[in-house]
Amino acid sequence: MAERLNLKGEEKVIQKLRSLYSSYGYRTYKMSRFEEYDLYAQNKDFLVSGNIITFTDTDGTLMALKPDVTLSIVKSLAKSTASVSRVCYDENVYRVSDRSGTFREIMQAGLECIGNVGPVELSEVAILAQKSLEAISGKSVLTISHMGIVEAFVSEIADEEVKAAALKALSNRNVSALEALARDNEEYSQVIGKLAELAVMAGDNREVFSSLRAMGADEASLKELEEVVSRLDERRLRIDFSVLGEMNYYNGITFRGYVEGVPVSVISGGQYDRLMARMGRKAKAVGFAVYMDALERLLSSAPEYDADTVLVYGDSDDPAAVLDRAEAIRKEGKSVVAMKEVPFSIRYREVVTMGGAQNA
Amino acid sequence: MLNVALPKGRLGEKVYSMFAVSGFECPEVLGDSRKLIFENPAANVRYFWVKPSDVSVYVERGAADIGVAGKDIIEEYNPDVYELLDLDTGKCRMAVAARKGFRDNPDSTLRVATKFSHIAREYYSRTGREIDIIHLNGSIELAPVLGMSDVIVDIVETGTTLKENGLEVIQTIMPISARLIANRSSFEFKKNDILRVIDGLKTQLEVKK
Repeated sequence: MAERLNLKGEEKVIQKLRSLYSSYGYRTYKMSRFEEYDLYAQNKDFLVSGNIITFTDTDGTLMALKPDVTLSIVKSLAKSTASVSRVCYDENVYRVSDRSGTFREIMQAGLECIGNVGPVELSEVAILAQKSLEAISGKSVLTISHMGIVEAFVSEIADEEVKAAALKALSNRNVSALEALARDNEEYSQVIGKLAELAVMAGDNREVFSSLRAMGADEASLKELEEVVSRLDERRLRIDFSVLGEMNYYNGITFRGYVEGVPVSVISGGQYDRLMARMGRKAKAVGFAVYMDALERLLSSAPEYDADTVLVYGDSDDPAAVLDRAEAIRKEGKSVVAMKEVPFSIRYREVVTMGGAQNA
Repeated sequence: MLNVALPKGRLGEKVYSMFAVSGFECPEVLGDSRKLIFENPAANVRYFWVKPSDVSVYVERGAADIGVAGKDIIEEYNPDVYELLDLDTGKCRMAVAARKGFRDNPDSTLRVATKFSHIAREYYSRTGREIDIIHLNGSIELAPVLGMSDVIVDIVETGTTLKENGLEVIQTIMPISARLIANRSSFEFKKNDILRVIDGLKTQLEVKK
């Protein structure tokens, strides 16, 4: 079906994701392209990039083209904490791409689960992240960690500069930087040593959990992570503490998804109760985004031919006859383009020539 | 197939021999050829020579799974890659240098000539000093000699070039050495090969110590 509709790779994936999310009761959320700039100015660090396209609305309000969807969803949902809202989206957002340094329109899909979020919802969102990866590619890995575990360790570091350096090194798996930090800051050498252990932690899940316990990791966080992980496909999962969300926003599980052949993560998300609190919400929240722009190369398959048939006609051909002939070929299930001469730039399977062109 | 980006030059050759000892041989690499890509299917590895400052680009964009880049390049371009190992080679330092006897006048804007604009800006922003960056692509030492800049921010290995041009180091910004970097996605899908490289290199580094 998708083939016949001639959908692009991204569009096919979006369709798959939509039906996947709706099968879990997620409702599509369609929103305006603009948002008041203030919303982003207050939460700049939450955004992938701090650059925002702004303009002045007719009443003088400073507006922004949406660089992100999560903030808008959080803002617009009721403040109720009793129930759980499940929403998903696929929207264009506008932000500076890391590499080119210029603004781009980027297709982003994702979902947010907001409200009385508990173990069921956490596991469900992580499962959906893994299933989204499967919808994109046969070879994928979801990497997952828990901010609570990392945070319990780094909370022992009082010096903010050392703390920031240690977290940066952990997110880059930079063990030598952690070792150097431990040498320079003896009072924290023990806890930084533990971060270095986290950075190279490997093995199957059971081994990882037992070494985490042996290290004295925060038990509540550990249990939560264990519970989520037990529901996921272990072959496509890695517990990985280099996956760190911004601490001012994320608090619980955080994850990133990769597919083979794409150099950057295509899914990123986690639990962000702190963002909720900053926006005056008591509810909890978990969600993720799928970056469709990263998938462009993987999913695009340029068609081999621009058209199946080129119908060449001349000035002396009756226009009605040309149109009829083209229609007849189309009925055979082929695509047809009618033109007076065949340019070099197009590729086609066959040429059909009308009488007028032959005489010319 | 593990794709490895090596920095052209002595450092790259030295690092290649460490890779070879770790079981990722490809003898052709050191040959006198103008080829850019060398492959050894038996060892499941492919090497390519690139300009040292481009290694992080190849790795970040996934054209290379791993590569070897100086800490100076990593700090300057801040690529989104894993920094897996300090190779303890290609050692030097990033430093501020000026003409002998230079006295900084904090009352005026400091003119800084450098190839490493980002590092220089970061360094001086920590002290809140107002600076004017003059971005150059080579022969940085010339700038203060001609009076175009007050200081330079550059890599200093032995200090001979500085000395011969009447310059001296006034501050060290950071020590530099070669690092093994990896693409974040490749790390997940070629983990075993990458871990083998790390283990092999680590063993050699320990022997050296």
